[in-house]
Amino acid sequence: MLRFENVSKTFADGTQALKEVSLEVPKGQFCVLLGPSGAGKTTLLKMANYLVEPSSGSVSVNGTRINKKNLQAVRPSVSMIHQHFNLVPRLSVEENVISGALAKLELWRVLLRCYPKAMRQKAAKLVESVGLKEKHFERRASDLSGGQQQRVGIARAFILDPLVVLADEPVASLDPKISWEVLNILKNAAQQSGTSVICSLHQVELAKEFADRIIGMHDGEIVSDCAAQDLDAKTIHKIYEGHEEELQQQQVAPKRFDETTSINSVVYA
Amino acid sequence: MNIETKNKPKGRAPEEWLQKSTFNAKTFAIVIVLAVVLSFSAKNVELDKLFNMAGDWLYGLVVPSDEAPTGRGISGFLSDMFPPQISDAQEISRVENFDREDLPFFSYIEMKEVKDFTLDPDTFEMIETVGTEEYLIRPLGYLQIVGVKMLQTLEIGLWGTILAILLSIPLTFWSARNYSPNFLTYSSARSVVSLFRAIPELISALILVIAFGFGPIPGILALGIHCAGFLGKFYAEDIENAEKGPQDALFAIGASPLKVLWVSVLPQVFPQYIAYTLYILDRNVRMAAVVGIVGAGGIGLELKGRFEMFHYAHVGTILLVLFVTVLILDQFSAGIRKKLIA
Repeated sequence: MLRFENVSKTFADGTQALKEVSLEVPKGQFCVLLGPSGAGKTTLLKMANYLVEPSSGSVSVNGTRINKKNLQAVRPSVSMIHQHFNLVPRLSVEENVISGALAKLELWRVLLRCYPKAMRQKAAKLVESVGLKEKHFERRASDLSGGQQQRVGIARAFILDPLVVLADEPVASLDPKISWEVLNILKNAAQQSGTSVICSLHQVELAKEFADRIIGMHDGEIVSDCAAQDLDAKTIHKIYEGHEEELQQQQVAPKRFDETTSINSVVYA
Repeated sequence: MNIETKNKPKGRAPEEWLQKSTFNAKTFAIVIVLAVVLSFSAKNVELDKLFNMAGDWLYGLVVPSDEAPTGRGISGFLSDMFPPQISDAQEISRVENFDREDLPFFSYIEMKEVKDFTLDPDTFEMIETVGTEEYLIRPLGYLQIVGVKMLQTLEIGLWGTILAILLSIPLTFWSARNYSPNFLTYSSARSVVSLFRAIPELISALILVIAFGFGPIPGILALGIHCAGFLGKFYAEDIENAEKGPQDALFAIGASPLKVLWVSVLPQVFPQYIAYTLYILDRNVRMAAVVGIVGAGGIGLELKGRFEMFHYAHVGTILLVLFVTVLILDQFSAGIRKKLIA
């Protein structure tokens, strides 16, 4: 469904964020990119919709190789969930969800804010499916809590029935309990629509919990690629080599631990 | 594995991290240089004279004397201004199509003694002759005249603002760095915005009066062009400074710039836009009175005429009406802001 072939990225300041990375994500898979900050997770994700243009190599979605010409046509089938939610603060939840479909809406509909009824109903269904109530629907995005905003972000990502959903650290600014809920919603939504998800995370526990497959990244390279249940301490060590302090700061999902205690160093204990 | 020691950062000791203090010898040197330059400039613009005259006036308020000309000027003007002129008297012989049976609403006729001076051709002396003249008195007449002209001033300000908004829409889009189609449109729109702002409306009104003649048209055009420069700059800068995250999120799913601007940026900047626009409306109503002085419609010409004829009571009425209008407008815009910016 989503295929990276030997993609590399060197930024203008000379940092090499990605080195010859190849990866294929099949339809319906929940694929987690795991790794310390600076490993190239976000760069790889943003290549999938060409927010970051690869210095070399190619990216294809559903067999179509992305280039600058077909970019506008491909982008609506690749949606994205952001770390800081990136909702429009003064717009209602409804309009924020519908804004995910801007590329497919006629200009006059956008200018007059007159959206098709079917689309509005779909937005309402999505908002319900991410666990929000009717009272939230007309509320401004800025009036919601972080967890609720990310739920809206997920609803927005699914409005156009995308082939691929990119999730860039979707729970990095949420507390552990909410993180767990949000990822659960994301996973359910993806399963229902058969969408591939490629999600960067830095919490090992959450990755193990939700991923079908975990890609370990380190210094711009893929260092491990395994099913979630096969992720062992040795692999984790390899991924976080030289960045052990990030592993220590991780908080864990409340499903297995009392949510009031945050436990450090789960893996190394 | 001992993580503590392995990741200990290397670098300068914490005692050496301190930055330079905010103020230092250089700061004081700059302040002193500025003070010297300003003192020369102050002499240039006669600030010393201002202090002398203001001092004289204040002294005159405490110790009454005839020595202070500034005080005489101001108190003379103020005492002539009050009470303001409310009524209007017009010689009947000058009223067109006057019909004694059908007087205008709320008016009456009064006989007044009129003193006239004529030159005796034989003795070359001035002779005072006393005659009577019939006057049409309208007790609220002058207030009505000023009110009608003030309404026109208000309308000039309003239409000037509408014109400014219309002109600034394309200018804003082209002069916002991140939405301008290309560098050429960006730099030319920026230049036009600066140019509009650089032309004082009083000067452009003078020129436009030559082109369009006396009346509200030059006033509306002068205000509209000048304020389009302001609004274009403010609107565009707000677009440039709007939060990037929500815009990037929409660009990432393939939305066109115009759609992103409309859906993501506009709601963010809307409260500021309302504030700018209401401020421009407020200043345009005041400036409409000023450009009226050069003949661009409204109350300005009346003000200028009365001022030059030393009819300070009439000037008082005009200033009061202007003051009340601005006050009402202020309440009105506060109401709009409250309603629109929640």
